[in-house]
Amino acid sequence: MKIGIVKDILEANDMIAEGNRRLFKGKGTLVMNLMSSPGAGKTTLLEKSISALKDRVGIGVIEGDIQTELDAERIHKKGVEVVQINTGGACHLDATMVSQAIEKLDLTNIDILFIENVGNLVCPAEFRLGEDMKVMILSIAEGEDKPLKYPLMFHESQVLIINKIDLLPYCDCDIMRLRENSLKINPNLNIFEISCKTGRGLDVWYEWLIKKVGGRH
Amino acid sequence: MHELSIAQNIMDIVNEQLSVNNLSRVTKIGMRIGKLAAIEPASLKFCFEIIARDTKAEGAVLEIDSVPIRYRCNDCQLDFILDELDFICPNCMRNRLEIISGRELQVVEMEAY
Ligand SMILES: Nc1nc2c(ncn2[C@@H]2O[C@H](COP(=O)(O)OP(=O)(O)O)[C@@H](O)[C@H]2O)c(=O)[nH]1
Ligand SMILES: [Mg+2]
Ligand SMILES: [Zn+2]
Repeated sequence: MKIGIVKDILEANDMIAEGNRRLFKGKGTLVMNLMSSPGAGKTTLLEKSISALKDRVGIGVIEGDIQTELDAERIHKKGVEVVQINTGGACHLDATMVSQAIEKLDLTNIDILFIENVGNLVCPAEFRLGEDMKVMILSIAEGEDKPLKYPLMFHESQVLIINKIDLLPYCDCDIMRLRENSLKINPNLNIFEISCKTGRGLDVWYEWLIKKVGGRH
Repeated sequence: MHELSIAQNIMDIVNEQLSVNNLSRVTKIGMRIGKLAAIEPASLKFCFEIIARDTKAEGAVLEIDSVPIRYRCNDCQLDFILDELDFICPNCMRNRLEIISGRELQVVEMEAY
């Protein structure tokens, strides 16, 4: 017999993500899903942001990696609550992994929760976690054509952080082109240009974050 | 890249439907997969075949209907299909576009007994 059904395969994930979202909202926690290719600077940006902001806002971190606790150890040294998720091969975090991780966090003291996704420019865009916004990091050494090659992630993100601008003299990346390509795909993107190495541009990012958190209380 | 976990999700949906309808075997599974869903049909079929071994879905055919990327322009309301993710409206050349299809990942039909 023929059975007609319409079942979204990611429906279960979306439902759990919605549960996470409600929980975050109830606790007043702003949640950012950080996505990039491996090595763009997600963990470094978190380390910098924590040092600069932890006296002003409560920060928590969920670290997603295929394996190892290395990033969680880096964050732990900065003195904030952190939970490591090892996906055991999976190329993205999903809502269930996040819902298990938040059981280990005391959200009442966390104003901003950063979720560092697995380094990958494709799959994380498909899986909602219950976040308030998706934040993409691209380092300039990756080239100005990346928005055109991985458009969905740029389309889904609210924020694009262009990192490692200290390397501009050594790369052929055309940063104006990169901005243009990104805005073509998503005209609403908030773009920040930073260097975690020299600190350039970080203050603007911090102030923007503080304003975002302030707006929720 | 995550075809194996998607294949497992399909298996869960199949099992649920078989049990709801009191059936013992599925022979065909119809799916709609958007061009933007980051799923490679050949790889999904391969993963499903492996997962389905020694189950009620062994040998079942995955019939995959590929859904093109459709946009609507928020400026001139044009509705159009593009093969690629390009974000310029061919009519008004602006880029306030909404993706209205192409991200589907659905089971839409099963044949079972
Ligand atoms: N030159 C330079 N290197 C950076 C910058 N930000 C991060 N890095 C380096 O890039 C490498 C990868 O950074 P990491 O934060 O681990 O990337 P993740 O994989 O995205 O978490 C490390 O060696 C960092 O020291 C930057 O702004 N400039
Ligand atoms: Mg990292
Ligand atoms: Zn138009």
